[in-house]
Amino acid sequence: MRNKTAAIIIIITLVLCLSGCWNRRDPEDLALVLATAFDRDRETGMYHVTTQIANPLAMGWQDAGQGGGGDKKPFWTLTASGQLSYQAMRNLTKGISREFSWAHNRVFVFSEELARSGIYPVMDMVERERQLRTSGYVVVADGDVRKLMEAEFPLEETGARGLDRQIATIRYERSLFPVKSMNELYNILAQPGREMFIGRVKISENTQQDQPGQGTGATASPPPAIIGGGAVFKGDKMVGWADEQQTIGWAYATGRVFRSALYIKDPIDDTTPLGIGVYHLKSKMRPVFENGSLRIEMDISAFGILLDIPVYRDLSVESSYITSLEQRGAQAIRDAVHSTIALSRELDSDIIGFGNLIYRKLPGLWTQVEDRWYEVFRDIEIDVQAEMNLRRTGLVASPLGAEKRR
Amino acid sequence: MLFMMRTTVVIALLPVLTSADALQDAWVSAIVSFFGAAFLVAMIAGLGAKFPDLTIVEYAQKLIGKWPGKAVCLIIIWAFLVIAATDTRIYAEALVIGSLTETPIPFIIFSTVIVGSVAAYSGLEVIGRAADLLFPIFVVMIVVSLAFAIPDATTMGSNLEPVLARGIGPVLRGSIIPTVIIAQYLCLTMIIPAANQPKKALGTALWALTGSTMVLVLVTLAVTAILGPHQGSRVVFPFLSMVRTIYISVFLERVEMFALLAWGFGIFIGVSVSMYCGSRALAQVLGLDDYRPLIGPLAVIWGTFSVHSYHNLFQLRTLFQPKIGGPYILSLILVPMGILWAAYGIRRLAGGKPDEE
Amino acid sequence: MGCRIGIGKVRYMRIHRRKKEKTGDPLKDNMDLSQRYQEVQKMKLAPGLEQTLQTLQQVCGYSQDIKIRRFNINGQIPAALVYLNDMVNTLSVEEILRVLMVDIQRIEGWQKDRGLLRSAIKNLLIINSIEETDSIGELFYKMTYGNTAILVEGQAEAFVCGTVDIKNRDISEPLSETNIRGPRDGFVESLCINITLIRRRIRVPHLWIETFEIGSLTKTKVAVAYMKGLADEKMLEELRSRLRRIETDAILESGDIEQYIEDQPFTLFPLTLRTERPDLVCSSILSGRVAVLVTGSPHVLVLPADFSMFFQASDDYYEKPPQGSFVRILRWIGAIISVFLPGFYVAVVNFHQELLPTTLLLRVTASREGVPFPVIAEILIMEVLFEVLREAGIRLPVAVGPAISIVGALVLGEAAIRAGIVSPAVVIVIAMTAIANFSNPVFSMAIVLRILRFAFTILAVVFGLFGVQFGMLLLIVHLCSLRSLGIPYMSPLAPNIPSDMKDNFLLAPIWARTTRPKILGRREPGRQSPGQMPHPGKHSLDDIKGGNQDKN
Repeated sequence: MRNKTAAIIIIITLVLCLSGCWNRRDPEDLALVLATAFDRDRETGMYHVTTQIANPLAMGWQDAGQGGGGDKKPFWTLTASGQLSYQAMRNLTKGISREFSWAHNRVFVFSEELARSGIYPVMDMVERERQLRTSGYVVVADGDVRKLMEAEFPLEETGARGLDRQIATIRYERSLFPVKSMNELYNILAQPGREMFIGRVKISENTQQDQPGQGTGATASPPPAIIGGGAVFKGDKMVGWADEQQTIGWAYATGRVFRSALYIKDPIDDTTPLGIGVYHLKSKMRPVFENGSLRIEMDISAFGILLDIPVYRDLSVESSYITSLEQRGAQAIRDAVHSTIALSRELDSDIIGFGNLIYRKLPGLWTQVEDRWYEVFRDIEIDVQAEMNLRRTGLVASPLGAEKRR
Repeated sequence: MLFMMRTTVVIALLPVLTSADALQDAWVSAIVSFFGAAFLVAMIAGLGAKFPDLTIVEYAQKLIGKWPGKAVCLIIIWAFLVIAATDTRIYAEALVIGSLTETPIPFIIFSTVIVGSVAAYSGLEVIGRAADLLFPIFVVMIVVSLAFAIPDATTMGSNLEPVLARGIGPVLRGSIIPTVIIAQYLCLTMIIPAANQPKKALGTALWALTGSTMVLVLVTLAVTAILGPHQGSRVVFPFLSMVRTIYISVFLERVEMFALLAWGFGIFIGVSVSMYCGSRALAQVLGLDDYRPLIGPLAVIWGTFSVHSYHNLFQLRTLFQPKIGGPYILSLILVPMGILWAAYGIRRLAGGKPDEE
Repeated sequence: MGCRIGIGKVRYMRIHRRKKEKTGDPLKDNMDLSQRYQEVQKMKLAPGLEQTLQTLQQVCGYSQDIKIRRFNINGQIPAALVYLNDMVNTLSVEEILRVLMVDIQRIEGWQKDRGLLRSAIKNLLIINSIEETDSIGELFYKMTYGNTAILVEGQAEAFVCGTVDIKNRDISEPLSETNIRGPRDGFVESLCINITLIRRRIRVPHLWIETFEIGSLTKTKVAVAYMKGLADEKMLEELRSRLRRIETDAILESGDIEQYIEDQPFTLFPLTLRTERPDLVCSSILSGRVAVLVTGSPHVLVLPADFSMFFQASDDYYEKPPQGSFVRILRWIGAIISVFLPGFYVAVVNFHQELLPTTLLLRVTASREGVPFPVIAEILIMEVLFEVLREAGIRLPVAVGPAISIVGALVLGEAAIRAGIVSPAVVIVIAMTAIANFSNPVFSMAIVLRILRFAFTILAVVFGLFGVQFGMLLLIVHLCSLRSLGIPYMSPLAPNIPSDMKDNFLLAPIWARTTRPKILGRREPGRQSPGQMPHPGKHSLDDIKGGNQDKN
């Protein structure tokens, strides 16, 4: 009995095995998409999808005997269009010899035109499609997205990898990249009283497309893309750009600073610029509702490190110089945050999420003001308190004072 | 007793991975559900403890007579069928959505059923030992997926606010499903007589419930914090979606496959225990000595049921809507157990000692 | 249905000794080792020769390697020589016999005066040592060193003569189980020598050796060695009945016996541990297991075996515990790699490309460009090829073996890659798998892992990782349903017995392993007194130094 059952099970398993293999793909039959850019034509309303596809044969790890094309670019860009974004993506397959694999896509690029006309259709598609990872970075391109997708990053094999690394670097080094990933965008869209703020990539116009692959790094060519600033959205539509000051202000207000730098004027002569690195920044917001008026208190505290000090100054404890530096640093933080708030009010887009704060802390009040939030937001009192602690002065304790000899 | 503990924890953890409601207060729902579930478990296991040597089929016949007892047990067997079929189906759906898009779902379901029936065929002791082996793997995988989520979850803790903004109503509604899913514990009615210390079954079951509630709370917290409350209730498999967002480093990016595998281990234990209990209960109802011959036919029914009872994902989700799933599953527990407790109470009042007949 | 969860009827750890039952025969079957030991230590030689011989045989369970040569001293007084087979020098024993049977008549009046007999034995025998003892325990202990006892009717003392055989037999290190540290002797084809090898390590009479004769034509002697009072009686009875059930014409090797006495014939997994190492056999016997020795086979079967025993080598015990634990974990990792790696590779590369880091996937893809076979075909071809290569390497003469591996591994692999017939990634995978497999210390388990690898590769190509998962679940169910001589195969993992885990994945220090495995019935739970963790005494070296400094 037992053996018979075992035999039956084995037979069934074998049958299953023989008829199986539905999802099997050999990797060389796949076209690995590394980055995807979405664009939309204002007039026709057509979506254009540009993908960057890895070309493993040209990546130069092959033995010489394999005859991998040394002259080929290690990636290929392909564009297709359609009335819907997914349709455009499927239209891509008309022009490629392999099956697409989207799972390794790390960067989503939106063109300014698309962003201004609304990115939700694309976001919905990205979320629904199982292969696409929503943990990828999102940027809005200031310039021609196709050029970005074709750009070569001198230090990297593929453009997508270059973009990916550049974003990661700017996030950690300068905190100039607001919203990290697609996930976060869904999160923000789902929350009341908060708007999207997506990083901006500026594409340099004169990226040499005609220049062959080898020579790139050797000459002092301009970088293919510069990251900094951000695109302010309202709903799913972009309403304007934020400059670097406003972007860093957003980072200060939301406390998302890994490392950042501030430039202030020297407290003594008021002309010499000084640089202060900012780290360990913490930000706290608190709504106060008293006597029928709403006020938001924001407390920011940060540690600083003296980076640029081109003149001789007494940095000893006795002098009040450090204290005044700290005050100026705090003022700079305040200024940055205020510039962001000003932008936010100007564009009617609550990117810092004050509305969300009220929704969270004072849900009763939020239901009253929800419908006319932007009217309220324009007049609301936002009290930004900043505090800076200069902790270190770099590797030297005090400047040499060389300029005095001049 | 160890075995019971582990298996039941595993079983109880399963639904955790599938449902999260009540928006940002889902974790409150999870805590609330503990009390409802504890009551139900007490109901299920309490009676078993009164008849430490008998399965529910045997003591039901003793309490309310031969034929009514068998009729009541058919409800329980139906519950086993629904549980096993639904578990299998959910897992298969998750596989198809998450990874094997082109594989026909019956193949996945029948593979699961085959593995489950082999285990059920080998008997409870083997299932218990397998659970002993799998339990650490299962726990480690879940803990790891949660641990990776923590860095993200802490930065997005604001998603959990405002607490209880919409009153307690939605919270209670959200707790219905986690409560009734405790129907999985119905298998206790069949397992208790096989355990080492049947009298302690209730205590163990409650401990298992406590453990699984803790995990449920943690998972809902993590899911809500990372995906956001609205997002969390919108996606099909919240836990999976949460794990998908994990990006620690290049090597630890796509760990959801391992969460799926862990889930598979849990499903396996759940399905095989349900199958074992179902076939044994049926064998006892039919008066057979050995339950093994029933496993083959039952497995076929199970698989077919799993394939055909839900046409699509929407129907599956409907089952987990509080309005539909709540009363349905609840009645699967309350009706048979209620009848039996009533009978027990009446006999007790009538002066007899029902457990010593 | 009486289904026992866990280990079922585990006897609780007995701290208090069972009350002694006072009956005529002091040795009962149900007595545990320590009780037996005490009883035997108390036993004295009886004046009656036959009575003494009887006691002696009872104490050792009529083990067949105890040789008794009855004779009459000079044809008048009954006496006996007792010795352990194959431990003594036959010439010396014959010398004793000659002296006692013939030469003794030169002494006048020895029949009457026992003192004269004693001095006669002492003076006439040209033997390097003669001692006297009146205790059964001591007598047996001395016999295990190759001494021969002379028992004389009417005399409550035995003369123990040094007849040790110092001949060095060619007992060599087992080739299939090499060790870095530990004894280098291995079992040989002779049953007697093998028993001697065990007796030399366990020098108490409680090591019982039961002998069976199996095979109508070969008349093979099969010996079952165990510690009386330690091995579970039910288990022993089961084993005896299984051995008696065998009706065949020929038993040529212990592998033949193994197939007859397994609990579950339809399994790939070895349910008995086959070993050539006496130290391993002795440590198993001492923890309550049973060894089956077969004439003509250097492989001794140890039963019951559990799964984790196949991942332990005796080196582990001789090294310090952290080192032992480290290599054991390595072995488990090796086993996991050798079973799952090809399947995992196929599943990931064919189904779950998203699991790989982008760069790695691109590398794999690049290496696969232009390869004419799908991944699965590549893997299967290389696996089969490798298995053939390995088999060829074993069968070839030692001198040619390395040549084959060079040709096979280097030339063939390199050429195949260069020609673009297989991708380098696959060669790496197969090579890693093969190396990982070599880390398994027991051949019979390693080969199972090799076979399973094919099953998992095929499952992986059907369902991807989920196929692997289904296979794994089936495997776990199968492993959990196995038993070896009635003991769950997966113990102490499943059923989980925390106290037995001290010697499993991790190895506890020897002073912490105070108990014998609970799963084996645990007749005698404690194997040493607890609290033996070494610690420096109160007067440590520092104190002494400090004292000196004070003086200076």
